[in-house]
Amino acid sequence: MRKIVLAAVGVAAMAAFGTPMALADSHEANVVKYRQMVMKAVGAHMGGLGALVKGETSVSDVPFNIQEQAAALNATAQLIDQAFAQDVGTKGGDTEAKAEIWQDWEGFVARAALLRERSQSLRDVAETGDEAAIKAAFAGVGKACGSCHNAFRKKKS
Amino acid sequence: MMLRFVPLLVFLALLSAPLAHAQDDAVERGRYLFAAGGCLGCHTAKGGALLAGGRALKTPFGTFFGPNITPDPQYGIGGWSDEDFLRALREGVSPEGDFYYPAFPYASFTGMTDADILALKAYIFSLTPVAEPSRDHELDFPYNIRVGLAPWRWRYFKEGPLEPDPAHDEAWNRGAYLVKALVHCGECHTPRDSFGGPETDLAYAGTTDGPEGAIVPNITPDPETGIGDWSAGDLDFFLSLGMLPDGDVTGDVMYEVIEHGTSKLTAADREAIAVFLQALPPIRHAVERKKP
Repeated sequence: MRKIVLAAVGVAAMAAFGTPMALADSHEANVVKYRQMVMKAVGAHMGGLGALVKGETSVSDVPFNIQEQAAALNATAQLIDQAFAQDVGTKGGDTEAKAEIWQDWEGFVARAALLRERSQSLRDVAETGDEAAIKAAFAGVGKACGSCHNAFRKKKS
Repeated sequence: MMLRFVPLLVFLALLSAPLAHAQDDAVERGRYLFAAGGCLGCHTAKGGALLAGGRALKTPFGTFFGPNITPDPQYGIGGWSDEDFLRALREGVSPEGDFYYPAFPYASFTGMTDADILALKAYIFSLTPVAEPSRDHELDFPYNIRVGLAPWRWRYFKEGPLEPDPAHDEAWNRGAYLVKALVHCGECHTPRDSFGGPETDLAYAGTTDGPEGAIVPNITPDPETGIGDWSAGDLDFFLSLGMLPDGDVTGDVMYEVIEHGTSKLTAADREAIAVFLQALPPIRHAVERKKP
């Protein structure tokens, strides 16, 4: 009987303190997962546009509407603030987010705003069809990504 | 009365103008070489004065601190002659005759031409001197004994300059000069053996023991473990913006290399780097994140 009680206490303790399975479903883990999905989406939009800028395809041959693609990037960039606004910080498992994001929230938000601004100008420039201007605008977006990542992400792989 | 000196002054001015011009040219060329060579990275502390030293480079042998290389005569290299500077980069030997640790990538810089080394000096000497002492390296025994570098040099060091290879075209040769000497890509991308020497049969194939514990990727054209599936455009894009083919951004040390270095190169030089890298023998060598 005593053994059974001990085992029950053990199980209860495991449930209370959490196993890896339980952690995966925690609030923190969900927030981190959401953040990562938003950033992945931003990256995917950039990757799509990148195929153009590398000069392998000319503007007229691009198999998508650059303007819409830039608008999608801009819309996704709107989600960055709210994704990181939750006070979860670097908790919640495997994150590359640096604590500096929340220590320098103003700076972080300003950089996210820069991405929105530059993706908006890319969208505007795309309307003109001017290939050189589109490429320059895209480079501006790329620099916005890079400078923010350099300040706020610890890349692990 | 003073008028009769005027022709003399004009003559002297004419004489010195081309000299001053040549010096300006060297400084401008040096600025470019300085960016390509990534000098700023190791010789400037985060938030510190330019080239005043102090940046920590953590390695398996201990921590190196980049010294002050501003033209300050006492704490920097302001007292160095051209010969001193050439010897440091070509031979890895200080003006006092001490061996440098190969953390200073002289084993790559040795490949540079005399003209490039001296242009680099001209640029560095045009910068502001900073009177700040350099920090001593913090190395583990026995690496803290400099004489111990003699066998290292004998085993691994081949003095330059790099000779052009007539079997390859101009772009490849320029790329070789950039990758092997000036930009010193192999210093991080080639794994090191337990003596800190390059494992030449894994040249450019990446390592999990990079600076600051970084994972340094395989940049040989192996399609699966290297960059064999990257186009020339992918590489140019990466070296100018830090953006990977999938839209992600590179991190840490490589971002600095791009921000201060490869993004400032001419498009032709970035293309030459791509030509050289894509002509490397592909090496199958997967570099993956270590399990925590």
